[in-house]
Amino acid sequence: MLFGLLVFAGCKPNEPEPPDRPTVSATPYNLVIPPLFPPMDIPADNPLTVEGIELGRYLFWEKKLSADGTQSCGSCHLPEHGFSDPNQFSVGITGAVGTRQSMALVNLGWAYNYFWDGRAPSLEVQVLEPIINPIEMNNTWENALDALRADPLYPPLFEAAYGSPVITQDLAAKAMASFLRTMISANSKFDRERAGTYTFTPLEEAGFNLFLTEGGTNPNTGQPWGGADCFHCHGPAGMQMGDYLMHNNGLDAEFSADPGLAGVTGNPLDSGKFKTTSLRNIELTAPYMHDGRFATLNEVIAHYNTGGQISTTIDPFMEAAGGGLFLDEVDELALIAFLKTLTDTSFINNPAFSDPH
Amino acid sequence: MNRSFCLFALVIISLVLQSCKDEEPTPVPGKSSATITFDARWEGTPFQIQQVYLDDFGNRIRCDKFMNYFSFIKLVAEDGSEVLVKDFVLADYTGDNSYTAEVPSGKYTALKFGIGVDRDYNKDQDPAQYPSSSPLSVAGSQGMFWVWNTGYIFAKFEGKADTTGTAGVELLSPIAIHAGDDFSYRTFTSQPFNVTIDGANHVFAVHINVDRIFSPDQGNVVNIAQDAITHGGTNPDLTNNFMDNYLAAISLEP
Repeated sequence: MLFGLLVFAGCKPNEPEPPDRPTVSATPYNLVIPPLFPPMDIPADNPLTVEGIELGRYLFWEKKLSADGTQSCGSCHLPEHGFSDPNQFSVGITGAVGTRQSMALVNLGWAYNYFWDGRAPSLEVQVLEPIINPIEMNNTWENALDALRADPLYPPLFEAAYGSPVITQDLAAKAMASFLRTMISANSKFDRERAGTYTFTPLEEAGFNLFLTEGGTNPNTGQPWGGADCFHCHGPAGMQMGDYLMHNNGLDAEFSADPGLAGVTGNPLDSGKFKTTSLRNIELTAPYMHDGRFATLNEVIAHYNTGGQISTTIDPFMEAAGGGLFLDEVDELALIAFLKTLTDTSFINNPAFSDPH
Repeated sequence: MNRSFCLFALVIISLVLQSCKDEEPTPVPGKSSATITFDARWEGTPFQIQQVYLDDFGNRIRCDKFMNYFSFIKLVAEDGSEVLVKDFVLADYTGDNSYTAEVPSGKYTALKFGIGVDRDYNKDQDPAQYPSSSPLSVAGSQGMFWVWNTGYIFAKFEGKADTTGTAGVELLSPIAIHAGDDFSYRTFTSQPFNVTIDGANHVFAVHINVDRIFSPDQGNVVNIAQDAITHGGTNPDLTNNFMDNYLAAISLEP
């Protein structure tokens, strides 16, 4: 009998463990979903709290998370650049140079995969990597946690958020993920136009029409469709301006430099596929593409205007591959005018996202 | 004594470890239920995404994405009443596409469902109104929502082809059949059957025989060498031919 009770007890933890979610004393955060946005999925084991988000902000800007204490997440995700890096490739603490462009941080709570190759299925998983990546912050999580434990600032912040001053990787990740979920941009001209409080200029309107119109050649008539064909992957469904799916947008015909999704799956038919990102704040987030190869929006449009390079994995949405979109200079001006309506200065200047240190 | 105790302990431990695992759902005795499974086949064998097939026109085709909506999957009871199994599903043929619901015990005579999204839920709808768990939501629709005419892509068949039929040639010719808009909605109603469900689960297996979509025997020509791209209304002939052939390519094991 006693033996049986002991074995039953084996199903439960033997020792008290740090909490894995906010305690009842933490203040629930009232997440306001902007008009026309879908509901946001919040993990059941990581509900948003005021204290957890604030801890996440401190951690996002905490340079002690890097091995030599010189870089934080914010070092490569600069607010004035739409929380991305103006350099083609970010430079890590050792001077190592990356191979992919720092991704802009915006409306991440509505995405369902992270990194250019989509390898992280949640924000809680995504935030774990840059700290230990040798070409980024080049630390170990144990060292990073020790640095936080040694800082009198952090045990009280963890206690306020999670009811215990014990600092763990799991809780640090949850706090950062919570902070990232609050980084919502929904106050651009485009948002206001959708809400009826702003009227597009004629040029912006023309650009939006091009954005929403098929491109390339109409197979039935042989005539150009006349559009820029952006909407298939960057459509405004749910106001996201990106479908977050993995697409090969025809940048290359061979993929040895960076296989993209194929590097994750090992499937050659995933070569050249990268996550489609949101176009929000695109004016601010140059350079563009996964490898930052294009310095300007004009270069981006020039790429799509060629139709892209044909390969066996190029996305069928790249219908103008081998032909072209037939956009002229006026179309380009209009498109850029529209893309600039996605800029949200209230987002990049929001003090809730700024460095608290 | 020691051996007996060890044996007793092993039994106890194995029982307790068993109890630590997640409980598997078990059928409730006396409850009737129906499971509808959808799978895709090519010439009678499971259809594999990203495998190259030779169609009846001599085209080598590789499907990278095959998805479609089903609306209002219903069983028809002997008295003509209809029992809803599922309102909307998005089948993608890369995993399990089976849907189970409790149904009243009794005799059933037909299965019916729509291919695509029912008209009342298609036009002028905002996918942002749905939680991501819904196949009609922004995330749940997985790229199957059109923004410019606010409607869903009912069926998507994407990939690459070699229209010369030559083995070893890289497949570069795009296939992008995106059937949508209300005109491309189709309704499947099975041939009559007699199935009694009484206190157990009954499986109805729906097969999409993909090879038949691309066969001249179907009457509506979907020949990738001639026509391979449509976005609903941009190429209504191909859209209609594809959806008619899709409907005709369905078989049911009741």
